[in-house]
This record gives sequence, structure tokens and C-alpha cells, in this order.
Amino acid sequence: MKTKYLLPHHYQIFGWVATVLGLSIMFWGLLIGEAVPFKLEISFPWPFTGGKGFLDSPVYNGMITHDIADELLCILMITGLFIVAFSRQKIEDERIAQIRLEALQWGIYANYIMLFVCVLLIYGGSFLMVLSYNMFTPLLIFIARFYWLLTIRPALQARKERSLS
Amino acid sequence: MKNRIRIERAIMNITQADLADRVQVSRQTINAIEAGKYSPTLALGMKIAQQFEKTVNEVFELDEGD
Repeated sequence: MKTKYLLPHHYQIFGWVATVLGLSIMFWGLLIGEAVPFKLEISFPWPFTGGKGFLDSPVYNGMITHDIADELLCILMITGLFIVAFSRQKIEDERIAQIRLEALQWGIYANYIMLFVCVLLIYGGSFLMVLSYNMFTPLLIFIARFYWLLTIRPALQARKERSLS
Repeated sequence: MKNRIRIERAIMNITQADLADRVQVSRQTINAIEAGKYSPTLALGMKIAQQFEKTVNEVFELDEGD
């Protein structure tokens, strides 16, 4: 059975590198109490006056300065998770396609149950944090469930069966 | 779904990996089918049966839970 719309298997390594890098930066940020632990400011000319300017940054002397670190981190995480989630396994057969589908369904269900609970329990600025993490959680849960079903659970079952026999 | 894959493999003297190569799936998939943990599609069931020169009914049998 051929699964459509998946990236080639060799892309997966790039996805893992981007994901691990993105997650490391996010945790580093969490440890020091910032969304992103570093700044990456770029300046460019902005010909218009008045208002707050482009990208919510103020305009000084016709120049706008914007910190792109959070945008870069977000793109890094989404790209990494997307590649890991949707690149083929070495042998992508019908059982893996079924596991993929089941994990995707599980990921969406779990994500929305968590979001439902957060809507009831978290308010104000903290809820904005929930929404920003919610950009990544469907893919994160999907990946965790997929690899649990594909490799971890069969390995644990095999170990259990070996120890029983 | 019950099946006779393990028996048929033993008769033909082939490993799970050999069968997996022949029907173009992973060895883990053949293992899961043999153990009754995964029910293959009709196409894969026919391919497996073809390898043993049997019909699908001779290799696979419906279980009570199916």
C-alpha cells in the first residue's frame, strides 16, 4: 500500500535535528523565564509614519527594529515537527500507515481534550501561553503516540514475552 | 484473525524477513500478522497466500472477535 503525501525517509534526520534544537531553546527559555532566551534584532527602513509600525515594533527615524528570534524559533519547531511527523519510515507499509492514522487521530483527540481543560482552568495572559504551545502540541502528541505504537510498545511486549517464556 | 503463516514458513523454510522482502513489507509487520496483532488488508493477505501457493482461505481464518 502506498501512502500519499509523505516526505522521503532521508528528510527525517533534518526534522529531528530541527526539533531537538527547537525544544532545547524552548526549555532554555522556560528555565530563565523568557519565551526565547536570546534576541536577534534586525533593522530595516520603514517609510510610513504614525501608528506602531510594522510587526508591532516602533519606528525611529524611518527605521524599524524587530526581534525575529521568536518567529525563527516558531518556524524551526513547526518545520522540524512537521518533517518528523510526515516523512516516510524506511519501509512504509500498510501497518505503519494504519499506525500513522491512529496516532494522528489520538493526537488530535488528546490535544483538544487538553485545550478544553485549559479553557476552563487558565485565564488571561497565561492562556496566551497555552495557545502558543498549542501550535506544537498536536504534532508533538502525534509523534509521541506514533513512535510508542511503532517501536516502544512492541519492544516492551517482546521483552515481557521473553521474560515469561 | 488466525493464520497459518508460521507453519507455512516452516514448510518452505523461510524466515519472517524473507517473507517480508517478498511481499514488500517490514519484518515487524509479518511478525504482527503472525502473532494475530494486525489483520492485513485483502491485497497483502493475497500476496502472502500467493507466496505459499495457497488461497487466502487456506492461510487466514476468521476469529470469533473479527
